[in-house]
Amino acid sequence: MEATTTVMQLTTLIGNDPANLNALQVALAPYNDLLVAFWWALWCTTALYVVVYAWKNRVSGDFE
Amino acid sequence: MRTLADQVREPYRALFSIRELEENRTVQWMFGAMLFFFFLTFSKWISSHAITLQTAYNGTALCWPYFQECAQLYFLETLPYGYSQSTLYMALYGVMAAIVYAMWKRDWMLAHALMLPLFLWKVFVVFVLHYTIAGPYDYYHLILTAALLFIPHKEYFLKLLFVLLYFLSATTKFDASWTLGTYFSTLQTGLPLFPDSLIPLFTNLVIFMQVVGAWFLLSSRMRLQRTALVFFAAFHLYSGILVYYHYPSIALPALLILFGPLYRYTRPPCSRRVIAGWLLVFAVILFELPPAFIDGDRRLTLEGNRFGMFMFEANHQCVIRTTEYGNDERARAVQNVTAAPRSCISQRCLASRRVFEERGTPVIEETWEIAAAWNRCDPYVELKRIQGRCVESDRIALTLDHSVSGGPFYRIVDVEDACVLTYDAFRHNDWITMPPEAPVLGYPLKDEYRY
Repeated sequence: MEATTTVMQLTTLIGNDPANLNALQVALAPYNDLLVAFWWALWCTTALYVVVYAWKNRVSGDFE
Repeated sequence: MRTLADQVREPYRALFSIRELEENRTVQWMFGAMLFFFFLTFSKWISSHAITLQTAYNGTALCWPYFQECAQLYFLETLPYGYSQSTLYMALYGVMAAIVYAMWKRDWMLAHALMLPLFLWKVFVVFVLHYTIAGPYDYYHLILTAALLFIPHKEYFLKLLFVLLYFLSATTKFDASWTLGTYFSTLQTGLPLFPDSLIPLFTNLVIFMQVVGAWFLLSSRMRLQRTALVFFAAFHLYSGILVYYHYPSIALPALLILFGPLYRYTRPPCSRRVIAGWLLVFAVILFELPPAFIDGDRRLTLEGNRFGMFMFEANHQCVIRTTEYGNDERARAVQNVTAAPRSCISQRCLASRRVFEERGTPVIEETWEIAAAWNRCDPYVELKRIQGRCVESDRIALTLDHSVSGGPFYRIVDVEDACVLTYDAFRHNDWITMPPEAPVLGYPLKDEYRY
């Protein structure tokens, strides 16, 4: 089996070079750290909400 | 007079909550779904050389970093060397057939007892005998099967664990690979079916659904519940375009059985009998944690990456160079086997090979390239691959250049002698460097996606 591409081409700047991102990615890129922080915050908030909800709605007994 | 079987029967039924299997249709269907995935797993493993004696003799066994001597436990031989592996898997095939018969006869205790050896064998292979034989879909399978076999309140915990696995999977996506969608925009083939301009919208929608939407699967509000069900069913069908049948085969049946027509809202149970279930939930969360306690970017160093849900976290490309000194036998063997022009073994392509002498010592210089997003360029895997040849060599120099989701190639490994290195499973290994210490060598072309 033969591969069709060369992995590394030191003289060619592509990949995540801004020129290779689409317009939406370019617009979001400066705020990526903020976006990551937002998702972590939402994840932690959801986890907390789920724990509180489960505790409030628990039902005692061996069979639900 | 009570027979021994009778004496065992009642404690067994109580210990494993067999009554739930007998009375709960959702749990029964899940039993069939988990059996189906055992079949898929073993049909793949029956011809694998991963855990055979031959692999142990060759020094190419790939053990978990926390048990690097696992090859001492290998005892199977596969064709063309022997029949023991295929014999074992055909015996397991017989067990699976017997389980189907027991299910048909509605003897759920027998079906349960027969599934135990399947489960134990898979756990043993996945967590003791081999580092890379399993994917996250196997973790899904083992976790859900554990809930099915061992704990009371099976239906509730199966549902909760399934949603929790989505929720935990989301954390590996909190990175530009997914928040900007560079995972897909740096693939030659882009995002399947949709225009690349929409990539960040899709990737962030998936994150949102895994973080928040997944919990709607457990909702008592049917509109929300059904919306989440349709989304995830569509998601698994769509992701199958990239990951083929294996992952959808564990996720889709479980999704449809637990949250489809048989779904009923279940409130969280609270009694002494749920302790086992919560312990399993706690264990799943613990399993996710090791990478968080290891210094560095797990996507780049891959340290601790195979703990927890690591599926699709980023796409990877790497270039591995080895310079092997003093291995006369191998130098003679490979002297006339040149890279032609890129000879690929699975996803690894031999880009160049040079055999020469340096002050009377044979030297083999090889460059391997991995241009498949799915292959993760794990320095530990490369180290073990090389160390299998250390006995015949004076030393082996190693460099590993790694690019994540189209980012720069960083030289994260550059060592004169890989044979003297050790690897710690739970701590950062100093011989793996990270930016800014790891130099940038260039940028990759767009990545191939191969599975």
